[in-house]
Amino acid sequence: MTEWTQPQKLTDEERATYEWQMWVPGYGEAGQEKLKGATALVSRCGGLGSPVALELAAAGIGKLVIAHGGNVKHSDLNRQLLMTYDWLGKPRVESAERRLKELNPRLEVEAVAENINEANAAELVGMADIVFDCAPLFTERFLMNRECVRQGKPLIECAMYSLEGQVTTIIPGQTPCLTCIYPEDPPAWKREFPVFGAVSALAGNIGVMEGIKLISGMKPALAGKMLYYDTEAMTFQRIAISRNIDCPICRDI
Amino acid sequence: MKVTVNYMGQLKAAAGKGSEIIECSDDAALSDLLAAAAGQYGSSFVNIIQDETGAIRPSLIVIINDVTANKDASPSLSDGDTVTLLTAIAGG
Ligand SMILES: [Zn+2]
Repeated sequence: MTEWTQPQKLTDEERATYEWQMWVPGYGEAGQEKLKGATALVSRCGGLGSPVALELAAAGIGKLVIAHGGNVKHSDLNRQLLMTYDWLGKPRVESAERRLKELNPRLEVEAVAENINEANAAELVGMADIVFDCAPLFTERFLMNRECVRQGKPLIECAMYSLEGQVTTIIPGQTPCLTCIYPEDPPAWKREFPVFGAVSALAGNIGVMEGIKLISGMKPALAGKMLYYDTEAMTFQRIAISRNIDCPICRDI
Repeated sequence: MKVTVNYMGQLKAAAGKGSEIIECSDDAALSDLLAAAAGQYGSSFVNIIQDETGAIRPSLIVIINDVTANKDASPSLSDGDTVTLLTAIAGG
C-alpha cells in the first residue's frame, strides 16, 4: 500500500488520548503516527462533512483543510453538527473551526470560507494528502475528482439522499473515478434534497473509516466498489464498479 | 416472465414505491424492462432513466442480481431476476 503521509511521533498526551483506538489490530501506534502526519481536505462541512471533520479531529488527524462558504442558517442545524445555534448568521467555517478545536486543540485547521470552485480546486486539493468529498453539488464533486486524478490523491466519495447513502473510495489510476461512475452531470440532482442528519453522518463515518485505513496503511474495502445503503429497509449492499477506458478524466493514468 | 425491480434514490420518490414486479416477455432484455418501467410513470421518473433520445442515461447504475450490469449491452433477463436501479446522488 502506498504511503500517503509522513508519520509524526506521538507525545505522551496523544498516546493517552488515542490509546483505545491504537488497540485496533493492524492500526497501532504506527497507524496513529501516520494519521498525525496527514492532512485531509473536507469540502463542505454540512451534513456529511461535519461528522467527517469531527471524527477525523477526534481520531487525531494532524491537519484539516475545511472549505465551506456562507453563514449558519436554521436549516443547517438538523444535520450540520459543526454549526451551532449561537453562530446563526455568522460564517459557517468559523463555527466549524471553533467546534473542531474545542474537541482537539492540537489539531491544525486551515479554514477557507469558500466552496470548491474552478479557481480554488487545484490549490485546496494540493494542500491535502487525502480528500473527503462531502459537497452537495455535482459541479463541486467533479472539480475535486478532476484535481485528485491530476494530483494522484485519494478521494473518498460520500453521498446521501433521503434515507439512502453511497460511499466509494477513489484511488486515481487504480479505481474508477467519479466521472467513470457518473459520466454526465446527473440532470435529476437538485440543490435542495430530503435529508436526516443521521443518514448523512452514516455515509460520512463509513467514509472516515475508509480514509483512516488508507492513511494508516490498512486496506480500504471500497476501492473499486460502491457501498449503497437504505435506512428505510436497513439494507447495506456493496457492488463492484469498473473504470471507463474512455473516461475523459482518468483514461491517461 | 417476472422481474423484481428495486428503485433507489430519486426513482423511489418518482415512482412512489421502492420495489415492484414487472411482467415481461420471455425474451426481454434490460432495455425492454426499463421501457416497461418508464411507461408506467411520469416525466420525473423517465428523465432519470432515459435521455431525450430514449437512450439509457449514463449516470444510471443498473445492478442485476447483485452484479453491476453493462447497461449499454442491454443484457437479456431471466425469470426471477432482481434489477436494482441506482441513481446519482450528492446530498450531504
Ligand atoms: Zn474516470
